[in-house]
Amino acid sequence: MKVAIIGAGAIARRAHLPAWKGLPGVELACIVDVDEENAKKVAQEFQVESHTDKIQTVLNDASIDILDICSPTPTHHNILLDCIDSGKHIICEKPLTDSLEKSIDIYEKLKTKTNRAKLSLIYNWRYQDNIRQSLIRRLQIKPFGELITVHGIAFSRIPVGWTPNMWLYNKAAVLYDFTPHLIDAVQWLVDKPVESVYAYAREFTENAKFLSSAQLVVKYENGPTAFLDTSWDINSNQFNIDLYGDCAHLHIDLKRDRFSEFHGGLTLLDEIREFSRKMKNVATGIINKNISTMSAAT
Amino acid sequence: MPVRNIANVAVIEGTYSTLDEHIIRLFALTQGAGIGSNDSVAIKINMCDARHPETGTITHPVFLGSLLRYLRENYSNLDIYVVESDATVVLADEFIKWFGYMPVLEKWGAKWHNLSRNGIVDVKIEGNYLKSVPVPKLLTKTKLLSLSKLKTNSLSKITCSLKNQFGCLPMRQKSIFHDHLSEVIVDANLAMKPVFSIVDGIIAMGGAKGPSFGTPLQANMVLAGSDPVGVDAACAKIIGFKARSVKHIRLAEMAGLGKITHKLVGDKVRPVDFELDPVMRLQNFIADKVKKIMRKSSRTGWRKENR
Repeated sequence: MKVAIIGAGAIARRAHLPAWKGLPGVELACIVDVDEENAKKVAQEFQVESHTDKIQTVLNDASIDILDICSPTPTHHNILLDCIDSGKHIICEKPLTDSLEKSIDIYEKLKTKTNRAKLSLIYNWRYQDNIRQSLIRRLQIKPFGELITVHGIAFSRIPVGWTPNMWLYNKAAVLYDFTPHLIDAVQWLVDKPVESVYAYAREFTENAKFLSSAQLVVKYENGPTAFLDTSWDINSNQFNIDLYGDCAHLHIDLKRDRFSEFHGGLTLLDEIREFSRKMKNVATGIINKNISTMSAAT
Repeated sequence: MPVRNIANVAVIEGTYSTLDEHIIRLFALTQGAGIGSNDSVAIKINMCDARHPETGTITHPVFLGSLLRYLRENYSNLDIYVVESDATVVLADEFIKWFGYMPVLEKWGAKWHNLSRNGIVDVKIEGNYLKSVPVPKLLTKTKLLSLSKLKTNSLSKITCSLKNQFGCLPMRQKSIFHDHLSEVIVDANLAMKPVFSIVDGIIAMGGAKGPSFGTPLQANMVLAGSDPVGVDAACAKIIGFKARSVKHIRLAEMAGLGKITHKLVGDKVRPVDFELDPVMRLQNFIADKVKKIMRKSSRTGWRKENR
């Protein structure tokens, strides 16, 4: 398979290109970037044979099978329209576009295409090993009961160390970063249509009017309510989802790709402590010959 | 110039709202900043991360405003630049706008200058690690005034006046020097020694996660002096370290940059607990060593991000 990368910025260099290089049977055919010097530099770094500043070059190249769109979110809409017309398979970084209207436009365009090419979005949190295998298996084997409420957290640092590219510090900002991953992971776990969404957000500073924190309240049809919290302002690297059902509580740590299960609001350690406390009271009652102390323990 | 046997370090108690009056006392106690009315001055502020000034991480715009006001009122023709450089997590040209500094600069007729973007001069030194230091051109034509914060630092124990000049190095990826940080701090000061150092400890930072993610502390103090080594020694003592246990302070004295032995003049400030958690420090020390080993063994670096 031959792949062309569209957009040679941080996510392409740090994630997509190393991943493609590690896959057998894949050839990186071309790097496309509006900055031709950058395209050339990245092509040299990853030993890709060609580079260009014109998307049309790769759209017209019949040998290329997959277009991997790694460009800034505000550019996705126009690039996707051209890529869909090309008939090639498309992988696109999240989020799809920077507005609901543009995303619907892409969806409508996809409905009209007659070829079998696929469009895939980078919502990779749902593919982490433990999430994909163990959690799903657990949900299938043991009744979780009715899912009542979901709490999701995506807290990270403002990503100035990730990329100096200023497109990210504009308008929706934090909503371009980990928020789409959180929304998609919860959506995938809940697996019900959305009935309504309320959102609250704050700007980074008076002089930096991009969103740096947002809280979303998502009501699912015949399903739970999800409270999703995403922020660049809180100094805490956390990506968690808590599913609270009437039979269990599942705590999912997406950063470490693991989950824990709780019942009755107590952890195993809490239960051990509770048991120890009771036994201590029993022993105290026996030593002091105090029946009321022993009774209180049970 | 002969180095005095003892450094005079002024300390005053104050808050951001009373700073205008207290800053006058600060300069009076230190007998001036070693600048003349027709000089050109570069004030090196601290914008080490994208964190709000109220967290104690970066220079507070109110403090900068008070300092600029004092300079304008007392040095009539002073040509003033406010400077900082880009770094791994610093977009200096953006931060100067984001955190409200530009109106302050405009009000007091100071000019913003990004040290990473306006040319360098290689200055030869007899350094601990570097044999030459890339000095931003502006700093070869101006007197440097260091305006830093009173903070702990997980790598260098403290980050006050001397460390502020490390931030004058123009390259963005300054973390390449982290393995020899103390030595490079001294080398940076050999090439770019400040004539006057002010350390803002009104909102200081403690804990083991400085200089960006430590605990903000309302310490309500400001230190200043013309000897950056003496100032840092005073800061170290206030934070809870023996000055000679801080490697870059010790090396700076040995390099002739100043004197550790100092005399505090001014207010008697109340002690502040800088939360030097020994367990956390040990944890950071081990993590730092592991990172160094992993960096050396990996071509692309140890950190993998997946956004």
